Amino acid sequence: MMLLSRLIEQAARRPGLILLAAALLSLLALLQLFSLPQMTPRLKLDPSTESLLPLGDRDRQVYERVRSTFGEVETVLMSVRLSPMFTPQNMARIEELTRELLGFPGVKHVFSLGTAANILADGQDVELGSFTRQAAQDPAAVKDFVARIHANPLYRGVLLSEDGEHTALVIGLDAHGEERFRRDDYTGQFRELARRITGSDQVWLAGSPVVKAASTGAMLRTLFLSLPVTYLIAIALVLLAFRSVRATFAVVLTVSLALLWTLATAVAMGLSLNLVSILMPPLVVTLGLAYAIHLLSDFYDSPARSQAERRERRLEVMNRVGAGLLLAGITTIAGFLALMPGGLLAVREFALLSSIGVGYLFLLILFFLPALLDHLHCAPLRRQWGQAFTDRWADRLAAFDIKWRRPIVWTAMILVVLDLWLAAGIQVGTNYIRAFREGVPVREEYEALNRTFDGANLVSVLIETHVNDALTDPELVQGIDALQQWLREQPEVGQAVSYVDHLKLINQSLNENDPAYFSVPQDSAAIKQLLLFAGGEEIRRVLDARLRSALISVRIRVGDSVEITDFVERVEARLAELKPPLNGSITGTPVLATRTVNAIGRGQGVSLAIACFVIWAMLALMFTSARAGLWALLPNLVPVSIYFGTLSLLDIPLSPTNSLIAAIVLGVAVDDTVHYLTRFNRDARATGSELSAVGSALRSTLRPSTLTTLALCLGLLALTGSELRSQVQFGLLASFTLFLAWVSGLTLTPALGSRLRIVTLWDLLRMDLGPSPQHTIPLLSGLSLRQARIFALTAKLESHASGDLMIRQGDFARDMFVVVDGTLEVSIDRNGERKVLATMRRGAVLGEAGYFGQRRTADVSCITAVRVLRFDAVDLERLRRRNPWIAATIFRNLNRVQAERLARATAMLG
Amino acid sequence: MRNASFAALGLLAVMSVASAADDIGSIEACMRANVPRALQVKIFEMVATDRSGGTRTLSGRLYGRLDENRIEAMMRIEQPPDMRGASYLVREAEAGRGEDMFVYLPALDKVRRITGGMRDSALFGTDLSYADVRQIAYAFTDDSLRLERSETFEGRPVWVLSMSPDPDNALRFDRVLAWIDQQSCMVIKAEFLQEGAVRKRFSGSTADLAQSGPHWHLTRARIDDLQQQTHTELIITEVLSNQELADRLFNPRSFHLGP
Repeated sequence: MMLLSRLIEQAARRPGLILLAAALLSLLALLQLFSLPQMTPRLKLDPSTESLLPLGDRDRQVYERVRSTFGEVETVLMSVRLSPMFTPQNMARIEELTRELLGFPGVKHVFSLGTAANILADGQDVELGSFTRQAAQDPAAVKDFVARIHANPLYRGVLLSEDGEHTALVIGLDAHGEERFRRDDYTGQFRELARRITGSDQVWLAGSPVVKAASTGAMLRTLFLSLPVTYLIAIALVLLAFRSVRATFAVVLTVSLALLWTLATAVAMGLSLNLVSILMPPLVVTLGLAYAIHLLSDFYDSPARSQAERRERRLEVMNRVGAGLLLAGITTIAGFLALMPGGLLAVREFALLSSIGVGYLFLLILFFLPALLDHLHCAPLRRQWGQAFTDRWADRLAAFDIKWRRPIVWTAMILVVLDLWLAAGIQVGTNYIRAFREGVPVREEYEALNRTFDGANLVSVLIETHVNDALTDPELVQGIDALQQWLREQPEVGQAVSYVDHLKLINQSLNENDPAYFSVPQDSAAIKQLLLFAGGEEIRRVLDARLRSALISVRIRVGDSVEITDFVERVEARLAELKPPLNGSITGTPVLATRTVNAIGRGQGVSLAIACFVIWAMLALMFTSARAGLWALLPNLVPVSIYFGTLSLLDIPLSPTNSLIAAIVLGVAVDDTVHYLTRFNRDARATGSELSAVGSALRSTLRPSTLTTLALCLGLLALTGSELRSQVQFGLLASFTLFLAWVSGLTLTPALGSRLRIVTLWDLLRMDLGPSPQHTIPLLSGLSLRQARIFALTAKLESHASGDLMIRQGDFARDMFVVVDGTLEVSIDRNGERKVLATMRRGAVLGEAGYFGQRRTADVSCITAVRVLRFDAVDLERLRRRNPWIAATIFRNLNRVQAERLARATAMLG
Repeated sequence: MRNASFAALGLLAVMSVASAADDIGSIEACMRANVPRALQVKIFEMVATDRSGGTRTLSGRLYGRLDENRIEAMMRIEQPPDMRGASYLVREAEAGRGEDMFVYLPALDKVRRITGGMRDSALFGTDLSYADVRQIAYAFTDDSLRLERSETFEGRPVWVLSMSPDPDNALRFDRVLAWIDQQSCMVIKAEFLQEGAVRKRFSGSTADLAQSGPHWHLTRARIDDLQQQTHTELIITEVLSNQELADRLFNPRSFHLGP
């Protein structure tokens, strides 16, 4: 704090140096951000969803094992409507489509009528050609295809819909393909290709890559729009509020530099902007605007004409804003950092970059912006826009808050309790498909595919044994078969397919197609031979080469994370019953996404608790009182708890997106509280009246806090244009919560503050009581320097010029003084003649008669410039309540001073 | 899939008797002349390695011959014990009619004739399919065969041939590049391309070239499936060429009884 004070003083003296340093740092940031000479940006955009998956936990390991063992990353489902489906021409079209799809880089395989074998057994002969090949060789064969498909458990409901009009193509992507899918718009390319080749007007696409690509695209479009919109809002608000193009330019430049430095830091740290951290730029701009408005309000309060006046103003503004800005920055950072423990990588990077951004904003707004404003000769306005209006309302609000203090506080308390109770009923979950608005193709096609093919969400059950060839043991194969049967009976499951189905089918085919052989052979060698000799690519995708791990592909109808959680829990309970050495795990993108959502939900309480604790600790440190910290925190807990209560009442589940709101709002909203309380503290100290300070603090903070809330809300409402309902919801809920925070800040904060005499750390450190006051001022004897300063801040430090009459004989008063420095003379008037009784210096106690309710017994005038501490019984009572140990020492010292004085008087009389 | 075994191993065992001049006709003739009248691979071993590093080893014997210019091949698995006796017989049919393939599985004690749908299937869970090998085989009769360039491979001169098959053949890869050792006319390396990207790679080393009588063969090679990220090592311990082989080895009724 002292360092900050010194920095402010230095910065106020050397604005040119500050501007030059900022310019140099910005140049370095630019060089970091762009590579010369082409000026290609070094900062990468990483729209992959990898960072949204949990790190290092068991689920992720299972997912990675599936990827490494079976190679498949994601699957896309394509449905093509052809009516009638089974004609030789349509079969040829499907074959061509399959071949073309296989030609796409990253496409690992395509399972379709063009690749699936239609096994035909006739005596000794077994025909293994695909449907489309067989159609090409024998066009008449197509008439049997429907019956063949419906008789085959591997294809029924997988390759052909129940109504026989839709055929599905299951497109497997490798890691490379997943990345390309979004980048090269495979969704569009696949759809166009299918339409062109088949002539079908109903081509649907679903699957995780489709949803991810659509979500990523929608998010990027929204966020790329929100940054310019946020800038426009910033420009419009500053221009409107301060009516100065130069000030607007200064704010925009300051905020832009903070963003530039943050992005350059991201590059230096090797970070890319991911799907969550891309929220950081508009957030930094919005927060910067909010901070800048507070500074501009103070800056325009103080006119300055000459160079010296400008320097004085800079110093004053920076001093006035510095503490609040520092605390606001720290609490905002605390809000962000609370998202980090246990958070996803994407969220952690967002929290880290946002915190860095806030740090840069603090530096630039406190040091750079005042220098730039002066450099640009921004002239203060006679009257700022909206000032008269807010002044009027501030007075009314102050009167209202003071009059209705108790009801306001009680209402807030009841709301917090009630909403927290309601919050207990919030469901954690999301629906990635319904996150899209109705009518958006990705949602419509998914739902159509889900209906037509009895499930469009794919999960896998990984069976592991860690024993080579274990999966050829008939008993274990039967166990997997039973598990598969159980899976098919679950209401969420449309299809469940594994190598066991292939095995049974091959067994039947090699045994004259006798249905009795649609079973698991009872001999391990037979199973192995069938799998290795007759098994093809399809088996390779679900059974590893060492025959010790396998996948059961499960197609589920549900997409809601709550329903998926329920299903996963049931599956896991069933998997626990598998006979050793079989081990089962359920995995897949929907499972991981659901786990992520649940983890976020579980972590929400911890995040908020951390945020609350850190913010409270900061406030308590800043206001040098745990109680004051709590009172300062309460007005911000109210909107957050109402937010959770609203979620519960509106039956909105806690999702990854809206789970960010509470911590962000808490961190942001506390800024206004800090600004208000800092101002209130200063005014209360200056006027000596908390009640009048409520009005004056509201007058000076209502306008900036309203403007900043307006800026934040408008910036967030820009998200309501998104195609994603989750982002629309985020924009609406976050702005609603910030609005609540504004209301709370205008009512509850002043109501609580009206009885709160706070001492800020800033005041404490800047309080100058001269050298060793605890040793040189008897009243402060036995206290530490900090305690002496706390007492001094509880009292009022007054300055008097030489010649001032500080105490007038005969006046009625209730306070007393301690001389901090200077010389005073005590005199009485005796029949018109002034008689000097004593000369008082540092440490002397004066006016104790007034303190005990008597009239002043003598005049006290200042011989030199004097600083005194004035305090009364109310101050001491407040000190007794808040700092009883300091109060006890003061009372003891006061007693001692009085006793010494009495002893001296007695001695003189004697 | 099964008949791929012969073809895959044939890649290693195709022999050469003479070098050829630098024109495509001569190179083609040189390579055709490599096909022996009869071939016996005493022991072959295939070690398939999956993505996670797991391996599966199969070993057995391979018999092949040219009967009226049509290839006949029989493969019999010797190891592992639970696969012992499993056999394949592939007989090239008349021109344009593909192949006949017969499978014998000892556990079922049945011979089955398999048709259709096998060309893209992996061979015993390895990384080479019959279609891949046939594509190389077609390369030497295809009109699109071109001599791309001459270069050196492991210090020896090689021809680089390319082939872009007719799409109507429905072959999986749209281009194949083959590196032919000029001394032995052996395929030392082959790359299978799809949409310009190498999807599979067959690679041997000139150091592994060996002679059986007048003929050359590769004793070791590797097939990488770059898309699946798996690979298979092929090892041949002994090749005998132009020896008389019993007809029953290539008869669908008796091939499974073995030599």
